[in-house]
Amino acid sequence: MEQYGNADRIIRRGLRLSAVGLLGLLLVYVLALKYTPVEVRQGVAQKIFYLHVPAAWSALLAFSLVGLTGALYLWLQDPRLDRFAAASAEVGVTFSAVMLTTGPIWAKPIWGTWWTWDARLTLTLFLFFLFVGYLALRAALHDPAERARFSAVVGILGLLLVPFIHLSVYLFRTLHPQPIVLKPSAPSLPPEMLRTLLVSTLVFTLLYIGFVTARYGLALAAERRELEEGSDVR
Amino acid sequence: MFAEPPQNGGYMLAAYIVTPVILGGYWVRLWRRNANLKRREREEQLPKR
Repeated sequence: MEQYGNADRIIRRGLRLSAVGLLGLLLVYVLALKYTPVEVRQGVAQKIFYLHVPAAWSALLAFSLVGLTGALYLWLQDPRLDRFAAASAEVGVTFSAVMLTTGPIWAKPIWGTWWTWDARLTLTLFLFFLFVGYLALRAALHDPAERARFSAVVGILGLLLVPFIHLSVYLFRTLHPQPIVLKPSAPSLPPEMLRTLLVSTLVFTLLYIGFVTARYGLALAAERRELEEGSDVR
Repeated sequence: MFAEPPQNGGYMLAAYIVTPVILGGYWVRLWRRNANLKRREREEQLPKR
């Protein structure tokens, strides 16, 4: 019962941290618009890169951690792991929404189409649907142990898709460009672009941590309420 | 000779508006969930007093 007392503090900390992250987004905008040069072939639309790539990073980080904590839950049966997985899945879906909207907005002026059914885009969309399904499954199951067990399995299946998404640009013929930072050789970006991308990635990671902390605290507070209601009935 | 970059600022603007709308919207959703939870807790405690 003692752990539930921390819920309000955890929520406040998460909301503050993510508010700082949202302010950090302003810094990213200033860096992207004032500091980085305009790419000659793509024009200013290339600056979508500083939002799209960090959003993709945060979404894949979130979904990977859902799978890892799901696997750990099946082993250790610790409810904190399940609570974290649920929080990370919801936040991952939010970042996926950013990735799946900024991607087509960038694709239209560069590829001439909003969407193409190539390997990376299709797998990313499947991953998004899989985790929307994960959240629907959690909402449909009421027994906490059953909900944690079933959703851990779905989370692990989602984790298996993540390396395929990263490697899809090497494995299949695709319109999507190959990685320019996370690759075996040195990043092939001018220093201003690389620095802005790194700042943006830090800001998106901070947002991820803040959102997950707040969401975790909310789950804890909801459990506290259920427990109090149960003790009132008894 | 260098080619002029294409004029496609509208797409950039759209992406730069959509991103804070989604992320800010999620922050508001979390904040409201917390506010609702607290309100319900307060309401439940009132009759007990």
